[in-house]
Amino acid sequence: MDVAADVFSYAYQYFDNIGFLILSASGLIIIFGMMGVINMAHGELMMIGAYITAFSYHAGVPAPLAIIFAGIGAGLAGMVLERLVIRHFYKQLLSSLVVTWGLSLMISQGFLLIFGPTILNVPTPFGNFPVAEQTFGIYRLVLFGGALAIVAGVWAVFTFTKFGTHARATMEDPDMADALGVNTRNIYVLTFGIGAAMGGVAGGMFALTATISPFFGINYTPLAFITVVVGGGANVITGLLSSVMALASVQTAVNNLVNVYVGYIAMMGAAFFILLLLPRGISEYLERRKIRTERKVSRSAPA
Amino acid sequence: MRRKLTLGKAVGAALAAIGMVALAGLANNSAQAATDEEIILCTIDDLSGDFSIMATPKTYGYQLAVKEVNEAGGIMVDGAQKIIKLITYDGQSQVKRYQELAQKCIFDDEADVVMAAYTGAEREAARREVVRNEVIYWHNNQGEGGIADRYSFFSGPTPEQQVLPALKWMIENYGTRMIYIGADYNFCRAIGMWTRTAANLYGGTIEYEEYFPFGVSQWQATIDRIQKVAPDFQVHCLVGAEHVQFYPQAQSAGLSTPTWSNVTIADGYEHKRFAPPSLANMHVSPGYIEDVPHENSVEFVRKLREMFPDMLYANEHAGFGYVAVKAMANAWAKAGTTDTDAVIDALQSDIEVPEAPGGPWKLHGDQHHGAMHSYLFKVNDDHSLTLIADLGYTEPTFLSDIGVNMREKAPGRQYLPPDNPAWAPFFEGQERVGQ
Repeated sequence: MDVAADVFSYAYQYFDNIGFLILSASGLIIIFGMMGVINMAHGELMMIGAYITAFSYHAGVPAPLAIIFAGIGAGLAGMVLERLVIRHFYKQLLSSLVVTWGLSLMISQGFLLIFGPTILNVPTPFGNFPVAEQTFGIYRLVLFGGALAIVAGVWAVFTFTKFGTHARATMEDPDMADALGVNTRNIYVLTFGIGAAMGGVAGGMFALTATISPFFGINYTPLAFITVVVGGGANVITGLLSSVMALASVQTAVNNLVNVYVGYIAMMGAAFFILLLLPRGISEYLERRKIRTERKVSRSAPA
Repeated sequence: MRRKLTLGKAVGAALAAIGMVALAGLANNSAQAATDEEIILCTIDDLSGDFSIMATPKTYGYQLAVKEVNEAGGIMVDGAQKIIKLITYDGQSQVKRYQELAQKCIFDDEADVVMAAYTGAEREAARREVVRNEVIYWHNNQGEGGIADRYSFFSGPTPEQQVLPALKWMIENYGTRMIYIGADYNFCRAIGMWTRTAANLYGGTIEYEEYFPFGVSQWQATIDRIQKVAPDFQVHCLVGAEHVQFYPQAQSAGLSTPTWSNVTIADGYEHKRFAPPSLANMHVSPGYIEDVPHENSVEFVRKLREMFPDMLYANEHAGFGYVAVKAMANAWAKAGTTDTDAVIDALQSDIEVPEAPGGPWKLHGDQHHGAMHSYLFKVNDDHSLTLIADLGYTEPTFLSDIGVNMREKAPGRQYLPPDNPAWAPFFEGQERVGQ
């Protein structure tokens, strides 16, 4: 009885941690993972999403619609940033780091000036359900489901649509894509906008369970980067999923065996260790192994 | 080659920016150079960053008090009627800024008094710098108490006014089994010791105790653990915008055991910032918040709102920032000079602030801490506050019980509950941390 409750509690925490990491990293897998822009202002795009959600909700918009508004708003903000600033810094890692860090400070301090240090958050919906002696919130599971839906959506867009094909071609070789008639300028704006919109949706979903302040985003940016870097850029989707599964399992186990403090350090330690062994991330390793086995198969096969 | 160029450009831009900041700083300094007609009050508070929510209202309290003193004609010191000049710096919620800015207050602005910091970590960064240079220092929100230093003064409530009477009430009304969770730094470590003291004095037990670094925002594991313990009530010392994410998460997970916290509401007015009912059943024991039903409070809030119409809530910081400036004004007037030693003598003669927003306040000169009222509030489902107990007017006695009398000799150190011989047995076998 007690064991069953413990197992459920661990599983619940595991999925909660996975959902948290995926949502934090969801927009960044495109902006950093695909486009190679170190966007230190990613958390601020999420913060914009959270503000839009809170304002819309308190103006009477239902929460799901408010979150969609957050995606649209953050996406537009991202496109403006791309046109005005980011596009000058493609393929310049260090400069993009400094510039977006500056943007992050300006956006958060700007929100502080305009809206003050804090605004009212949005109540968490759905209540909770009992398992043995304990009760668990339903919304945390919705977050997990939402995270998976976002990942599936990204995968579908970049795999099955014409825009997705053009986007991947542009990221691979912009000059060639341009020569073949792809409007790479639009592709860059749209891709960055989609990444920003995903950040906005994630921020909006967190707004239902977190306090909202101009420094809301600071929490998420480092975790988002760690998750994406550990995942690697070879295949952003498999990278993200394998990365969050690895990091969340370490965090959940250590949280419960020792405490939350050590759990957080252990997660950072795991990221460090993975990158030491696989400097280009988990997905790069998986891709290489796949290619090696394919080669082996083709070599052993009769010509 | 291209990258080198951009790197060069970036470095150039950075240097130019640093140069501009330095120039702006110089311009600032010359503008702020002390004149003989003014008493310099230098304040450092978090106007940006994580803690701006808590500390911004404190600067409102300062501004109101300075305005009142100056509009009443200033203070007669050193043979001239002088007004108070308020210099405000933003500590940016970063501990390291406090040391730098404290030096700026002392050396550039030649401050007569420095009032600085919210958290214990910020306080120690600023305070050490200020007292090392023999300038008067004030900390103006609740603290863990026990600091016995010639140059340091404290307007806010200590655990004697908060932890002890509030937990006594909680144990009597809810039961004896409690848990303690707090931020991992000196203040909450000390509050943990005071909680242990209260548990021992009033017959309670601490069933689970854990400390968390700032920045922890996922609380599911902790919520599960507390549900397994199923305590009669919880004791919290969760600090900062990340830590308070606990409340919406606990509410959605259905954890609704009564909770007492000395930092929630009093510092961060979470009941105004979170959608109800995330904080329902929270109990707080401030020395002052807007809801305190004292006539001084009504008047204080009216004046504050008139000056700062956008203020969301008058918190404990606003109240004790105001008290500290009024106490200093009284001490300067009594000393008739801004000479530090003479002003300390005046402060040590039991300065009073009868108009303190939480009710009359009096500095105990032998302890450098105040005697004041404290109040126990409960947060309702709709996030309104109900006053459930008046915790009374409490004189600070912690330092005198240990044998400290700062009128005679200031030891220049901090005392914690285990230093009280009568309480030492409560801590046997406990690891000594937090110093």
